[in-house]
Amino acid sequence: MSKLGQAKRIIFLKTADGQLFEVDEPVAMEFEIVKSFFDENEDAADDTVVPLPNVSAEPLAGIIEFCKAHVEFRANGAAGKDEVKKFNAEYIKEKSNEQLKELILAANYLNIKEMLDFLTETIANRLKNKSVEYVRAFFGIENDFTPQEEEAVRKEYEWAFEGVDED
Amino acid sequence: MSKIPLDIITDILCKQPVKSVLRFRAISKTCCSFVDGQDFIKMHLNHSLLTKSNLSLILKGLHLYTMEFDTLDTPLDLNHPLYIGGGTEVIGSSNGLIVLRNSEQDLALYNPSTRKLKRLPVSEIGLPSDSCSPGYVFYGFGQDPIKDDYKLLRMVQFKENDPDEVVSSSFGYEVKVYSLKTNSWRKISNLPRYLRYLFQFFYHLMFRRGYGVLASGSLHWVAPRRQELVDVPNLIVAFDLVKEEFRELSLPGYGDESDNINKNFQLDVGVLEGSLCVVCYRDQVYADVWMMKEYGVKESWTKLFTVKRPGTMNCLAFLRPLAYSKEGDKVLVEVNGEKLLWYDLEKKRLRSVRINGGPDSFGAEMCVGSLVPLNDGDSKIHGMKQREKEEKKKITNKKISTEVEVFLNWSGLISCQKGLSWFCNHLRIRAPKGKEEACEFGALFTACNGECPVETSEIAT
Repeated sequence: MSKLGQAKRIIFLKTADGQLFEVDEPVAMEFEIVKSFFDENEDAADDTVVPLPNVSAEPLAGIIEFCKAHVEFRANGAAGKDEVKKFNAEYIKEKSNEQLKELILAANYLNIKEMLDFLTETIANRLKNKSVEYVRAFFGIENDFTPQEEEAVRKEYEWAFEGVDED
Repeated sequence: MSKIPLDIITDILCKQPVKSVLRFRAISKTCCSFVDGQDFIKMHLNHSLLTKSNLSLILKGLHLYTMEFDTLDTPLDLNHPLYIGGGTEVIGSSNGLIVLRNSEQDLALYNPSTRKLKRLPVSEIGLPSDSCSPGYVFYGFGQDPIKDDYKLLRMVQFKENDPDEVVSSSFGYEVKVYSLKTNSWRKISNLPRYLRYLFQFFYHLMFRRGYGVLASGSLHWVAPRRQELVDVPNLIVAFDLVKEEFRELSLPGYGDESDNINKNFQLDVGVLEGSLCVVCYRDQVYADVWMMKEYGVKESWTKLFTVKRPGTMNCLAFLRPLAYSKEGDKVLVEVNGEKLLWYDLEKKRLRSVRINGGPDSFGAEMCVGSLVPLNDGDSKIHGMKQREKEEKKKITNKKISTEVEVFLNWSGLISCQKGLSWFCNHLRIRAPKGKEEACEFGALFTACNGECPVETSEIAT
């Protein structure tokens, strides 16, 4: 455990693809899974490496970037302000659906509630005007309707299929 | 491609507008029966209420319009199946359902988001004597949160046709409640004495056509003070939708000038985010908005803010709080039945909301987009049981299918070993026997949760 006057503590995280990350303690503690690791192993040495077998380096780097910014926002009392919205909008702007999915899986595994909430919101917005086929493919859900059944389900709310974006 | 866990898919579906959810029913069978289920409907509704998403205003003029709360710019026609050329009224709004009224004989429950309509059975007005005719009719609509039922209250006031005869208070009103679950009307007897004060000339004009205000599972009306009756101050009359009985509610103790206000001030009731409010008008210049922060507790009445009449208005006679802004720093108010304004709680200033088109004068009603169904309870339950049976049959006949996986993931049972036998019991499938089946289960758990929480040897026993 860090003591007053000591240099700020660094947490070591190791990804599935073997990369070692050095993360500031407050940022790493955003990850519920890391936090509970240290809660359960109170006497863990400072240089303990926490293995993250379900996360690879690319999404982890993205998650650290997000959490670092949000920890700072909170420290500056900027939570909920325009500054945060701007950062969030920039953060997802260039991300592909596939990248978002990787991030969401990693954030889910690491159990970061705030980020998960933001990511699901983002995906919900990307999907809301999309076709059934697009969303099916996005989630990787198999269509188990027979053509007749699907036709019947679509007929129930025909108007809900109007004004859908191109895939 | 990586597979997204089901609880995340659920989360994403909860954040969709109703129209998108209805479209995504066509994704798969599992998805369809899941979003049609009561649990999802509730989750979706709670998310919308909590985050103020899917929120709209219904503007009630000669025609009905709907306008998104997020943008507040362009009202669109609210097309509805009860349309008769205009004049359809909206009585209250609760969890995405509204009541449409053309006449006492032509009433319907409507969910504007799913476009589902249910016409109400006609309940004749029982006149107490031949010399009586129906006078004011008051309605109120809301949810009974205990039975998860939706109820419409109708109060018919009688008037004597012979002007020399005085109406006896014992038969001043007929009160009936319609329940969606039973699809029938029930007459309420033992009406309290104070109900007869629920009357004033022009009551319909002054009190939102007499529609009850829904807050905390009860409907509310103002029984205005009677100038000719010195001892009768303003009252709030409440009808409890759970117990189906009337109750009086205490008004705020307005501070020093309490006597003054109670006797001389015009009052109305309103609601803001589910909490009961009273609006107290002073000299047609000021309107004080009070909120009962803890329902039924007189001491919890808190003055939220005071609106001063803007210079551009002749009077400030009607003000209704509608909703807090998403940031919580402003309150949307409807003024004089024709204008929407933002009241900035910090700067204490009013700002007009500019609307393109729509009716010139209106009453606004907040309405959340929801999937709440209108099928009456019994047939719904029956239908679900039928479907459940079929599902069970299917599951017993083949190896563990996606339905089971869905069930496991959503029920949270995967992480508890006790849950396994319950789960097998519940689905009428036998617990896995032998190493092979146990391994299959184990593999399923792994697929669901990332790891197998149950020792395979334990499953086998």
